[in-house]
Amino acid sequence: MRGPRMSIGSRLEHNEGLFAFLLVLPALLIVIALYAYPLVFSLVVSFFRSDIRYPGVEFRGLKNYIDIFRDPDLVASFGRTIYFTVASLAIEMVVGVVVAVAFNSRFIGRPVARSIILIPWAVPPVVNGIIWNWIVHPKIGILNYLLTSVGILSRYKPWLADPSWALNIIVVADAWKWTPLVVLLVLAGLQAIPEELYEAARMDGAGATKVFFRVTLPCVMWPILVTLILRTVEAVRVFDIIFVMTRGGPANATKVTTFYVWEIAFKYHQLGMGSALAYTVTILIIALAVVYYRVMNRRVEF
Amino acid sequence: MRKGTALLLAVLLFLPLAGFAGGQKEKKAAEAETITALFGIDAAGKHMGERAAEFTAKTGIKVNLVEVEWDGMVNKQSVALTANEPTFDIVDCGSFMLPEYVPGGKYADISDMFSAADKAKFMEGMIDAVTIGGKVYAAPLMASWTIMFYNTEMFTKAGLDPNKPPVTWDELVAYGKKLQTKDTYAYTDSLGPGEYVTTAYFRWAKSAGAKISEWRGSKVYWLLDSPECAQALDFLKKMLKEGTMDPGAPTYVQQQIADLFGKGHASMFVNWDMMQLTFKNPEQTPFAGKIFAANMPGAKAGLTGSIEGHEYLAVPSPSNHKEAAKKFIKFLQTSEVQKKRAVGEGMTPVLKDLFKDADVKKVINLDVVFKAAANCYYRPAIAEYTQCSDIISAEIQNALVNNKDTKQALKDANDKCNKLLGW
Amino acid sequence: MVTRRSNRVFLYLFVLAVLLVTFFPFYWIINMSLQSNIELYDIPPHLFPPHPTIENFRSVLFEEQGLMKFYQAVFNTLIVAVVTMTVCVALGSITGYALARLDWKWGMAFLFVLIGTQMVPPLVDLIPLYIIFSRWLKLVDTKLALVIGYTGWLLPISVWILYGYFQTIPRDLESAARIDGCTRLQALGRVVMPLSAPGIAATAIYVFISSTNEFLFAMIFSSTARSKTIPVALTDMIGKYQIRYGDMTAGAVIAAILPVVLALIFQKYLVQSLTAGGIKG
Repeated sequence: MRGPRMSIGSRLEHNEGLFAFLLVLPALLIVIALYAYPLVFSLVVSFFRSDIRYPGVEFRGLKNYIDIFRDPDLVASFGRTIYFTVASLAIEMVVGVVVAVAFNSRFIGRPVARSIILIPWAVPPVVNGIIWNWIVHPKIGILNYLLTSVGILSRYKPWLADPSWALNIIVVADAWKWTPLVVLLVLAGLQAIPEELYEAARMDGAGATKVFFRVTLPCVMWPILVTLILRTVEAVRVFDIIFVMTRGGPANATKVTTFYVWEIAFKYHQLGMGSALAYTVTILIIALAVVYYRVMNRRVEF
Repeated sequence: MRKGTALLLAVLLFLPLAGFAGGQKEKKAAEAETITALFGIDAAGKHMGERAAEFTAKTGIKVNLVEVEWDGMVNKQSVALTANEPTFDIVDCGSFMLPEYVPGGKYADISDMFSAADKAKFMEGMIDAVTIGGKVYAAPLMASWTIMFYNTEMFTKAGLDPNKPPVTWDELVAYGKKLQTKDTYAYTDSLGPGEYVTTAYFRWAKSAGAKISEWRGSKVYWLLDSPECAQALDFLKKMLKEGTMDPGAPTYVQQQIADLFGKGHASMFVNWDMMQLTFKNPEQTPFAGKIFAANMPGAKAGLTGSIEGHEYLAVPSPSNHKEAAKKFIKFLQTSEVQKKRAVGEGMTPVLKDLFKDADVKKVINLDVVFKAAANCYYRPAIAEYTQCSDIISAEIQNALVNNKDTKQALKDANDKCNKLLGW
Repeated sequence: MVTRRSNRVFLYLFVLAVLLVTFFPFYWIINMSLQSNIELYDIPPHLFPPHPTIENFRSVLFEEQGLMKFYQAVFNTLIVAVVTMTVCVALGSITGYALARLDWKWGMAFLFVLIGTQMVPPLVDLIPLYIIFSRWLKLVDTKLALVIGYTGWLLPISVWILYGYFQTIPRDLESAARIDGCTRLQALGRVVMPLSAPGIAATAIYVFISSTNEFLFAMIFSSTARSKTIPVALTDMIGKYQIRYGDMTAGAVIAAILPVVLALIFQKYLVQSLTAGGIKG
């Protein structure tokens, strides 16, 4: 039925590829317009020494990248970034799943409970940082007050001045904000599990733990992995909450890699080096994403 | 259902368009020349809007004021200038920012604003600090030095003479023992990461009589491994350990300690001189009027130290309204405006004449400020200053919270900084 | 399912503990916002405001700080968030549909490109983006700049979410519609869209909350009351010499209420969509 007098409408009807392309076009244009130039620009800059304090640029090839691994502070920051990511995700995932399982059961006030659980996610990150700063404040913080009243502490402790505690407190603040997202996603998965599976398992005589591991967990693999990717990408790029709570201190104990990106690119005006560091982080994220994707593809076949 | 959704979508889309429409009208009205001025919130003060209105009434030039908090202001400036965009016609800056922007030609040369006669009107050193290669690149807006504040009510309660603040470090510790209560520390300071602890440390080192750094030719050489510097760092460690100083100090940024002191959690602290007016305000502190200013105690009698934090205004090179910008800056430097800012907001004026003004003296203790200015450490105006500051900050904090050996920490900081500068 | 008596008691206790931990920091924000600046610094810290006052709310909303009043920031944020939400949902739907449904050989590649754009830390994009918005589009300090920027940022995720959701809708329904004589577009509009209302609502809420929380881009690209958003306005409370905690917490309470209300309305939908792709697929 093809012929030169066929209208556009009919052509669309029969050519799926064309229709698809037209639908995708607006998004494609926006993405190209807003991402192509910046990404190419920053990638190219990462191969130069570009510093507005010293006029002129100098091509450095991969030297920026190599210098990153020669700097012990930057290498240490990767360690902190990984620690932060693993710690936050561990808390968010474990607590999230457990809470989701609990909220899956019927109890009075369940809709209210499920609404309250959303609040941390909705609080702006800047406020989140400030409020936790206040809670662990050395003099007027509620944490110190409670711990000394109960007798666990004898003196007020400046939590954020202690290098071994500072990053962990930020982990808690971050986990507080994002665990609700995990709860929601896992809860959805749980609610999609048909009753029959539980019946069958119980009739086979399985106890509560076995039911959990054989029936519940496998069915929520997908939402768990979806959350894992979303949160990992965000955790590796964490910046706002660190800046607000500790500004990278004490003694650099909370300077994760993205913090250095800000310092190097904006405080020291070394755009080339900053971009190189940012792209190193990108490579880390892509590596993690590939790992997750492989695992996802295997698990989903059930 | 379709009609309902369509209606909802229409409403959703038209509502914001109304919001945008407002913006369009504003654009049309600004046919008169408009300059955009970027200020940090506290440098601008509460009344910059009024000053701008007065300026517009006089000259017909409109001022589009942008006020954001200090770190945000630095970021905005950095992005706009790096991208070479004429977004801002005036920017707020500190003297240590000049070496970062001038070599790349980002700040315009405004030497024509300052004839020799003009320069003489300003406080000593203020114009020199922003003169590079004989050309002036920024204009002073507000002078600022660090001074010590102490709570006379607490002094009296502890049996100390409220008119005799501690002058030496030994006195500080001795007073501290008497002033300390369960809820109050004797002393608090802003030893937070980054520039906060570095500048704090500099004033302590200065009040131990240390040189800290020196110019050798056109480069700076750091002298952090001197005995006086070590003495200062050891003293800080001692104060933290013995409880004279608030142990939370290594986390405090300067924004926090003024409130802590003002609400009575410490009896002495060091901060910028503009806080003098704030501490006379009963809404800010229950001790209004009972807080006096003094100079920082020194390691020995006769020594004291301070840091300058002058606010300057620069004109970015990409700007398209440089002449109008200069007019506004000149307006802000006139006697009337400077006096209004001094008396109304406690901002130390930059004009020498105003230092004899009776009204200004009532608000600002100029004797203390003068002495602070005389004993001030000037942060070296080099492009790498910010990087050096972060290196020093990390090492000082290492010493304070990780118990790193004082001499080792200072040696490491010194070596790294000097290496960075090419020694 | 938990049915035994002791287990139920344990369950209730656990739920209560969870709610306490979740809500407590937010309660503390509310607590702080109702105290005066001087009371905030009392030792021991007050668990309840001793003299509850709405002075902070009054001053934050109606007094000038940073040359604007907070309600202007609320207004800006709402507009930007709503428009971004609409655009992302509209474009995300048609794009997600195309990728999920239609045979297009570049489909998967495009999906991966979309996800790939999210992997670079946004900090280094700021300068080139500034050039785009300031030099080429001349849109600095406008709400439109924020909308465009946020759309670019949130569109890939919107597509991804909606893609997952469209995959779960049975093709037969569409085929049936087309057999009945609908064109592709009509089938899309009359059959698929209404069925995906949950997925759409989900994307909407995610985009809305993300827009209201975003800080870095807003800080750099908005300067005055014309376009300052809530997160930026909140940091205006941080002076160089003092932090106005009373005002800030009051502003935070106001700021948190907006997305919470929206989240409460849409929460049921949100959950179904993000995971639908996997469960049924």
